Amino acid sequence: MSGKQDLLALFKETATQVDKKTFDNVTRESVITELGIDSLAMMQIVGEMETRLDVMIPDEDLVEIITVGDLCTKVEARL
Amino acid sequence: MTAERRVAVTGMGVVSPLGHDVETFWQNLLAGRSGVSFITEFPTEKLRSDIAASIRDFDPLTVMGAKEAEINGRVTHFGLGAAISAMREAGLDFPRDPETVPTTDDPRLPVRPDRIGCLLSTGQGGVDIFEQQILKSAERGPRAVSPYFITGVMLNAVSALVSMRYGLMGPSFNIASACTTATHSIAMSALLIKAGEADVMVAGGAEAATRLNTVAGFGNARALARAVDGDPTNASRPFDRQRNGFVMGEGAGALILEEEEHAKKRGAKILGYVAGFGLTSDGEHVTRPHPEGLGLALAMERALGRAGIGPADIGYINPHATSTPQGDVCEVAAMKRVLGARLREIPISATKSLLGHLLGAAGAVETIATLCTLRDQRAHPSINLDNPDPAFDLDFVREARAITARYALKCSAGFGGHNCALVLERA
Repeated sequence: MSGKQDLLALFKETATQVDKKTFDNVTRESVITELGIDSLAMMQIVGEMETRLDVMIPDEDLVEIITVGDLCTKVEARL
Repeated sequence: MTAERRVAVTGMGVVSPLGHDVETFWQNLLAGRSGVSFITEFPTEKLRSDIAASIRDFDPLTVMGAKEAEINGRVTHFGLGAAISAMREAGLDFPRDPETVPTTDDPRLPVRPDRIGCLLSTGQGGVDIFEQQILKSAERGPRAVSPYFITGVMLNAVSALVSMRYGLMGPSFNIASACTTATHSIAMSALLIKAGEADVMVAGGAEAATRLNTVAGFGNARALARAVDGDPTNASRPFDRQRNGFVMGEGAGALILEEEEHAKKRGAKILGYVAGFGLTSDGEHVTRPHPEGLGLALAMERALGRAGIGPADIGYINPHATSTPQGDVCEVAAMKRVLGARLREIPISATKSLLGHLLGAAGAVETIATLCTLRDQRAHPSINLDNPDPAFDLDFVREARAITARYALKCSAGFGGHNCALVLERA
């Protein structure tokens, strides 16, 4: 499970960097829009994660993402 | 009490991916031809979209000298080209004469120079000059930056060049409101004429922003569409179930707006009227429109109000329709709110399905398409509508067809939540 924890940690780190806020209490169940992350910030976070992990997340994958866990699952699938 | 000043259109000009004169442009739209192709000007492997509506056959030397062409951005080449065509059609393409006194009437001139201005706007300006000079500075240090850097990148360069070319002394400047830039420019030009600040205005928009980093920027915001089955021409799919973003385009559209009596007095041919306009904001989000289209609905209501007409009088709609999943939904919501049951009876065609999104020039070239529609009483098709989204139960024009319309509605909405609606009237 450590791979999944790493992705969650990466998300928190990237989100903090991008949105200039702390996301310490974020879990995989957290709903992204409820974290105050809007669509453009989301693109920025995904872009940053793509660059760091050298993966491409296609547009279609992004449509269904509601929770942080959904995003981590999509990213994992492309690793 | 002064009588209301009516705003007529006496000239139109385009430089576009579908032609550099209005008739070619219009015939291509009627024929359902797409101006979208694969980008060849820069490498696209690392970009999220590799298509655009590009101009490859416009020679700036046909409208300006070699030096001028180099120090001014590509956007000014297009803008000046469109402006000259429009001025020519309006019978205003007069050479500057040092003998004339621009602030007094002169029978030799079709219009007094201090009564004509220019609002030929761009949303992004000379991005090519900006990139070029930043690179130069990085390679050779700031001493190498051109003294023409600022004049090359400033957004008002287009209006400046047009006013310099013709010695215009009326109001000239630039309005920047992203995708609503040109529509706003037409509306504000009409307002200036109605307010008596000018009798004639060169109005419209120009854009030439299809560069590696701009495509990257829009692409990374996931706003751009990709070719479907390797065919770039089917990527721009307004109102279709499979729409997934817009296609960037470049070009310019210019209209000569003229106070009606002024036009009649000099025997100018009237091509149509700007009968109404409405300018509003969403105040919601920097890229996403208001979910119920409230801002755009208000703009349409104001435009109808100024024109003194109601939904029953609108015979054609040329929407903003960029082919984004959200944008098209919000626009239809706005149209339903204002036009109600009448909406389903009005033919609608999305110019962007053929032409892509010309950004700051979109509103102008689409207004020109709308005026041609009213002139010929014929609507161009909206292509790539293989499966209209079932939420939109509307009369989309799928093949060019005859229509009956005295008034048409043109809408635009831009990043930043800026909306503008025009009511155009046939001559």
